[in-house]
Formats: sequence, structure tokens, C-alpha cells
Amino acid sequence: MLDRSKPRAPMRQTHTPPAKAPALEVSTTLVVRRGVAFLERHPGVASLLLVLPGTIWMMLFVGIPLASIVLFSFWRSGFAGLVPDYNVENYAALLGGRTFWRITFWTYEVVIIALAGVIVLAYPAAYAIWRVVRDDRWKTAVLLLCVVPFWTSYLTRTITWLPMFGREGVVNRVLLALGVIGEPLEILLYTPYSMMWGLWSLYIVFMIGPLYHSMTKIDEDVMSAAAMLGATPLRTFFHVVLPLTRPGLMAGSLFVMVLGLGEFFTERVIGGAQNPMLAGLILRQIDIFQWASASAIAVTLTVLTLVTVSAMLRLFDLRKV
Amino acid sequence: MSDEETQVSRREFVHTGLQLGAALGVSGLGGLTIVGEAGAQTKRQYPWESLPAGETVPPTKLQLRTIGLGVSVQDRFLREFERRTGHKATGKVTGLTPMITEWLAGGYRNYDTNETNANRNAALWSAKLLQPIPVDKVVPWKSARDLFTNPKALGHDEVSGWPLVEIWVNPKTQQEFKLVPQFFNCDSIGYRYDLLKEDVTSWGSLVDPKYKGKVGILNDSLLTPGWCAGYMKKNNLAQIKRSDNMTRKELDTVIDFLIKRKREGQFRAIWEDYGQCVNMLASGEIWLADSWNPVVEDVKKQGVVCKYAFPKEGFTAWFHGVAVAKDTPNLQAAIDYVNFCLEGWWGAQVAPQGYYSPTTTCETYLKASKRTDPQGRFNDYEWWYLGGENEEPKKGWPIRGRDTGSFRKRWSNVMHWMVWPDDADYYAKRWNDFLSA
Amino acid sequence: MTARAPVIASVARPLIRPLYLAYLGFILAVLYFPFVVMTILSFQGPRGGHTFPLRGVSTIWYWKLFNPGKLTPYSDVGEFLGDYLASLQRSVVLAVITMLISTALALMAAQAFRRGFKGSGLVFYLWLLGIIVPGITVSLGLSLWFRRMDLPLHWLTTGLPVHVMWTLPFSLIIFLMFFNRFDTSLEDAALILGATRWKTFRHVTLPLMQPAILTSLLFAFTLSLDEFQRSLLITGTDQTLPLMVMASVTTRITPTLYALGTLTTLLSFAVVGAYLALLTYSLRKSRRLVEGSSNPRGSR
Repeated sequence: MLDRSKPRAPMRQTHTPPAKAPALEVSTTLVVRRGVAFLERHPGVASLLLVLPGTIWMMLFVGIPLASIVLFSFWRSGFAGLVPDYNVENYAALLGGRTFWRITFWTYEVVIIALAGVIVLAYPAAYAIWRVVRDDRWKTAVLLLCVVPFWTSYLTRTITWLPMFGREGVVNRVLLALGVIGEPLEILLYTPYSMMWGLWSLYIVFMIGPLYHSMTKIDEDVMSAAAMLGATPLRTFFHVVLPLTRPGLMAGSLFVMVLGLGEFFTERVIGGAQNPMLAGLILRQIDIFQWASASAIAVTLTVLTLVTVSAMLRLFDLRKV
Repeated sequence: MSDEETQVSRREFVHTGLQLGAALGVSGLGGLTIVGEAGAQTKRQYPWESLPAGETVPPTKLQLRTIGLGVSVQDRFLREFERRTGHKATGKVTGLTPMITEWLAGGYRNYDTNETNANRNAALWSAKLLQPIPVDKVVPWKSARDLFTNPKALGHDEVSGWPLVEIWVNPKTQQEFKLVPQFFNCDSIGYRYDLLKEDVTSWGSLVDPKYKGKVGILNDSLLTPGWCAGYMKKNNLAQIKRSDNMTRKELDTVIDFLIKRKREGQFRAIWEDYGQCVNMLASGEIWLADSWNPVVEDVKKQGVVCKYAFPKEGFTAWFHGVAVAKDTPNLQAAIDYVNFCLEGWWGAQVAPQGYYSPTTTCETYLKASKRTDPQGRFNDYEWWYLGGENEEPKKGWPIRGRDTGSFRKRWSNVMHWMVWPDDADYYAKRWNDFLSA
Repeated sequence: MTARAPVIASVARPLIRPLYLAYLGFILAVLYFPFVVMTILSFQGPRGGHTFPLRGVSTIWYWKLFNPGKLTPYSDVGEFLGDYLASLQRSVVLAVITMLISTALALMAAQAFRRGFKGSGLVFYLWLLGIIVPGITVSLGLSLWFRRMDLPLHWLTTGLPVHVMWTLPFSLIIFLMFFNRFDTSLEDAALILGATRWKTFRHVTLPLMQPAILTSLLFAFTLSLDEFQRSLLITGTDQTLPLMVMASVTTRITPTLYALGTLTTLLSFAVVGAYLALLTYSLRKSRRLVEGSSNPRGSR
């Protein structure tokens, strides 16, 4: 196997040296060349430098707020603002209450069903784009078409649910006119079912993209080998496609999981606001200036999500090269 | 003013009204800003006073940066303010929570004024992020209504001290404003008369199993238990001392009652935003809701038969005001703005949403305009403040005047003011219980 | 390659192919159903609301987009007359800058993660925190800090870091997914032949990464365009589009929003169409080049 940990000595090619340039420019190029050579010899340092800008960015703009929030969660909420009175009341009240656990279980229930639904719905779609749609341009077209709806504000799209699925909405009117139902369906709006449908249509894009991506990396020879060996399409799917698309599946699942745990908006607008999700609790506390308990909920949610993500990565580590 | 002068100015106002309309980009008197130029004066004492149409005051070095809800921060109001005073005016529209949170988090340095609901103001005041305004700097206050000056006025709540206790630094001396009132109203229930086929006369209709699955209620942990408490108290369903500021035990009774109803499927949806409520009422998704007054007016405009109720337990009252930031560099602009809001023109603009102005200065403007009455018999003052054809709440349909009656009738029927409860945290906790039940 | 035939045959059995296509069509229909309704309702009459029935037909809501702040004879006091197009412009500019920065930073980091380095686990979770920490609390924490440092709030200067912070983890995951079990034989070949790491990266890895880069750009752009939780408290006076839509919904919901949605979708179709045309052109060009030379097509 190729040992890629050590840099390879480049074969020198003879070439004519560059024309004499002014002194300043020579020293700049010299520094750059020296620097690049140094980095070539020390790939560890190069790696650190590569990852540094982004990490600094995240430390500044996520690390600091997160540290602040952790700090605040141990303070008290004054009438309008925070009082640095260290205590664990916020956590005690939160974790001791039944409502918190009920809402947490409900949130996880929602996210898991959302994820399962999205996986089931996305696979055939990604497969269709990969194998059934032939031309490369059409593939790109379909993928882009899937993304374009998301360039309109989500809020605007959720508003259209009422004219679509309300009692006097398009769907109900059509179904009534066709005689399929006798009374307008109430289940289409302001119920947990409508919320789930909303979440599926929101998250499906995050799964189709990565899945399709992974599918394109599957070698055609593998597929034809399976076919030649007499595998039915279903067997091919479960024994060839599914394992080979694990990276995409994991990436998509991470997206859906993390987005779902932070979700509260769909529940309010399409779900009728009668089955709150965890992230919504934070907003409610901020409404009444209880920043300390809002921070406690945020920290708890962060911890829960981190635990969930690390559990998922244990199933399949995306970072494996 | 002599008779002759008044005659001339009356003739003039239609003319200047049209010009004002043209200046503000509206064609004809169909435009809403045209509430008439009541006697356009050529000599102005203050910059915020009314200015003849077409004129503009040259820009000054000051600016006004305000933040508030969409109902009070509007581009047209700011443009008119700019025209009259020369101060450059910008406004940010956002929700109550982001606005107050931003202010508390230090954002107050970006603004000169904020336009907030009075119950939030106490938080800003106690955080010392506002400055008091001396009453003599607010010239139109001479024509203030009783409600904001007299503890014995109609609608004043002795127990909570509202609204005086929220406006004045010292309610007894009334020398300095904590919060200058801008507009106010009292709320009840919006309902589809054509679907219910009868008038709603009590808050109990919202929790009446007869209307199961047809009710929408507001997603607010502090306000919604409030009206329910008022209903239960007045109908002897629970022992509650103060429906606006309940103890934990009292709140528990109310929430448990609401949870019971929720589990029985009473509430079709819980609404958050104005637009959502209009949406739901207009499309018939819900038949009744604890909506705001302008929601019903909006639904009516779509040709839908929607009314606002006169509940026997009383209305829930509130007011909005302008508060000035602590160290604003544009103090004079802020004061001019406060005066501008109370001068009368502003108050007349918001009247068609059902909002009252704290000073009587808007009456001249409103009397000169007849926008609301489709048959043109009643001028806007008669419609919005006097109730239209009579003072009483209107029964049945169609109605000729304000649904809930005159100012006097409504303010003698106040259940409570929307006060910030002492135990807001417990309210939020129990509301979460309700939502997840 | 003759091996292709049975694969296509197994998939392209007469019944299955159209079923797949129909399913794809169904998914797209579900995604676009709101837009059909939106487009119809954007022509709502001046007195109509934003649900059916249509009370007259007019283009007044489009007019309002292009004439912000202007009243009409149908205007009422509470109407929100904000300048949607200006905030759309801001959002697009912000989204473009965000997608570029996000992709660049994530690309670099993905390279580092490939080789592995000390503490990479911790760094990875730090990056993920950008999407894990609830948005509203990030906004709150940051606004308190910006206040401390006396930084004025502005959609581009204080808004940009927050948008990048939100999209960066997505970009990183996309690149990591791309590199997972990545076939390094081409890179290794280049290294063996004496190319420096930089040259290898620039001429071998980067072209191979094109689909991942495009996906990252697309996702980052889309995510930034609709981000509002984190931007809520730190955008300053000029709002981005989602914040303006939020402000408008809390005031009134008018079909102006539908007109905006229809316009942006049509614009997006135009952009996508232009991109596809460009792709066709470059494809034809490269096909001519390939046919011109005698190189066989690559085995992969």
C-alpha cells in the first residue's frame, strides 16, 4: 500500500531559471516557495493551518455564545436581564418537571418518524434520478428543480397551506367535488399528521442530495455484476446500493436529525401549536425575559443533540477516509 | 378663529387634502391618509404641527430611529414626520419579543425610541434603559383623555393602578412620563356571525363545547389565561381575586380547565400572528377567536360577515406607548416624535383599525373624514368613537357603526388591563403544560 | 461496454421505468404544489385576502412589490408597505458571499480532516455546534457580545459571520461525505509522478471535487437565504428577506408575499435554465475536444 504519511521527494526537472526580477519580488517569491516547501515537508502543520480559519470562525461565533449561554444557565433571570447569582435552579426546575420529559419524548418521536419517512421517500427519488433519468443535463435539472422551492421563504410556503389544505382549501374542494369525501378533511391542517407531512416535504431535499451523491460513486460494474449474478432489483438495493450509499445516508440523516431537533416553527404554523417541540420552549422563555432558564433549555438541547449525533456517528463514522 | 376664517379654512381643507394625497402618492380622496387638513396654519409654533401639503421642512442634523410593531411603525407615518420636522426618520418593524430582547441586550443604543406594549415597558424601565419625559415637553397632552390623568376615570383599574401606574414616574404628581401613551384599545372575541348565526355575548363561547373544534385562541402564556380567568371569576366557576395577576393556585384552576377543554378537542388551532388569525377567520377554518379588533375589520374588508363581541364579563384593555432611549443623541427628535404621535394626524390614521388616541386632538381630523361608512352618513369620529348610529353594541347583521359601541360604553365594561403578572415564569410553565397536554 | 445492457434492462423494464419517473414527478409535484396555489393567488383582486376565493383578478400585488411605501385606493392603515425587493437583494448578496466563504473554509478543513490531526474529533464537534446550538440563543449570546464590544449591528458585517457559522457545518459534512471512501488512486498516481501536494490538489483533487463543491455552494446559498433565527437579533435596521417576511406576517398577510414568491421562483427558473444552457454548451465543447483527440474515455 502506498505510504502517504511521508512526503515524496519530487523528481527535479531541469528548466531554465526565471529572468532576474527586482529584489523585492524575488524575496517574496522566495518566502512563498520556502513556506510551501516547509508545508510540503510537514503535512501536519499544513493540516492545522487548513483547518484553522474555519475553526477560529466557529470558536468566535459559536464558541463564545455557547460559553455565554452555559454561564447564563447557572444564573438567575432578573425582571429584565440576568443576575449573576449562581444556582442550579434552572436545571432542577427543567429536568424535574414532567412537561419537559413529555416534550422531549415527543420531539424525538417526531424527529425519528420524520427521518424514517424522509429516507423512505428519498431513496426511490434519488435512485430514479441516478438510473432512470438518462441525460446528465436532465439529472442536474431535476436536482436543481428540487432545490428551487427552497429559495422562497419557508414562511411564505407555509402560509399557502391554508388555501391548500384548509377546510375551504383546494384539496378539500376537489375531493368534495369528486365525491370522495362527504365532509372536509380536518386532518390536513393543524394536526400532528399535517405537521409531519410538512416536515417531510421540508427535509426531503437534504436527503435526496447526499443520497444521489453517494449513488453516483457506485461503480457501474458492481451494479452490472449484481444483475449478471441474477439479483432481483430489491436484493440489489438492500445488498449493494444501501451499503454503498452509507456516507450519503449518514450525511442526510445528520442534517435531518439536527434540523429536526431544532425545529419548532412548522409545529406552530402547520401543526396548530398544540404539540410543542423542545426548541419552542426556548422561545417561550425568552418571551417573558427568562433568559437564564432559556439558556438552560438551550444547553440541555445542545447536549441532547450532541449525544444523538455521536451515537449516529458510532453507527457509521462519516469521517473515516 | 372668526367665522369667516373657519369658512375659508374648511373650503381649503378639501383642496389641501387632495394635495396631501397627491404628495403621499395617493390618487383621489379614496386614499386613506386623507383625513383632512383641519385648518392648515401658515404659522407653526412647533415643528411637529401640521404642515400644508406640498411643503417640506429642510433637513436638520437630527434623526429619529424607532423600533416597533407593524401597526405603529409605518413608512408613511415616518415620511410625514420627516416632512414636518426635517428630522430623518427610520423605523424597524419587528415582533414584541425580538424588539424588547434586542433592547435589553444592548440594542437600545441603535435607536432613539421604541413603540411597545405597556406591559413590557416595566422591564425596560427597571433595567434603566429609558429616560423620563417631562410632561410640559408634550404639548398636546393638554387635551389628554381622563383615562390617562384621572384615577377616577372610566376604565381605570384601582387594584392594579393601570393605566396611570405604567405611564407616570409618579402617578400622583404626574410630572414625568415613563412611557408616553400612543394608542390603546380593549379586546374581546372576533366571530363569524354568518356561521354561528347568533351574537357572542360572553367569553364563555370560546370554551363552550357547542363550538368544539371551531375555536382559535392566542398563543400567549400571559394573556390567554387572563381572559379565561375573568370569565371563570365573573361566572363563579372559580375563586379568583385578580384575573390579571393570579396566584399559583388560581392559575392552576384556570389552566386545568383549559387543558380539559383542549383534550376534548375544543381548540382547532392556536394562533400566533395577526395575519394568521385573519387567515383563519376569513377562510372559516375557525368560527371564533380571541382576536384583536383590527383582525375583524380586515376580515370584514374581504366581504366576510365577521363581528367583534361585547362580552358581559368585560373587555381586556391594553395600551401602547412611545418610550425614549436612555442616552439618545437625538433627544429633541424623540420629543418631536412623541408630540407628533399625539398631535392628532397620527391618531386619526390609526383610528380605522379601532385604535383610540390618548388625546382628543385627533377628533378634528376624524370629523373631517368619512372613509369608514359605506353609505357616507357617519364621519369617522362618529363611527369609531361614538359607535355610529347609536352607542350600543350592534346586534345582528348588517350593522351601521362600530360593532362594540361607543368609547364610553366600551370603557365602562373593562374586565382587566393586560398587566405583566408577578409570577410570569409560572404562567409560562403552566402554559407549556397546556400546550403539550 | 456490453456490461451496461443488462443493468439498464433490469431497471428499464417497461413497467418499472415509468413508475420511477411517475414517482419523481409526484415528489416534484408535492414540492411545487404550494407554488401553483401561490401563483394563482398572487393575482388576487385588490380587496381579496390570501386564501381562496379569488375576489377579482389584478396585478396590484406585483405593483406593490415594485412600488414600496406607496398607497393605493384600497390600502388600509395597517398594511405593511415594506421594501421586499431591497431586502431580497440584501439576502441574495449575503447568501452569495456566505456560500463562497463557507465552501472555501469547509474545503480546506475537509482536506485537513482527511489526513487526520490531533484533536480532530474535538474540532469536528466544534464545527457541528454551528447547527446544533439553538438559533435564538446564538442570536441572544452574540448580540450581548456585540454590545459589549460596541459593534454596530449591520446585516453584512454582523449578519455575515452568523450565516457562515450556520452553513459551515453543512458544507463540511458534504465534503466529508464526498471524501468518505474516496478513491485516492488518481491522487497517488500524481504524487508518485512527482507532483507536489499543492499541484496534486489543484489539478487532480479539485476537478474531481466539482460535484461536492457545487453541492456545497448550492446548499450554503439555500440555507443562508432563508436563515432567520440566528439573524433575528443581530441584523440591525436593514432586514434580510426572511426577517421582513416575518415582520409582514405579524402585521398583515397580503398576496404581496405570493407575488414575491412567484417572482423569485420564476427568476430561479431563469437562472437554472441559463445554467443548463451553459452546461449544454460546455458539454458540446468538451465532447468535440474528446472526439478530436484519440484518448479513450476513462475507465471510471
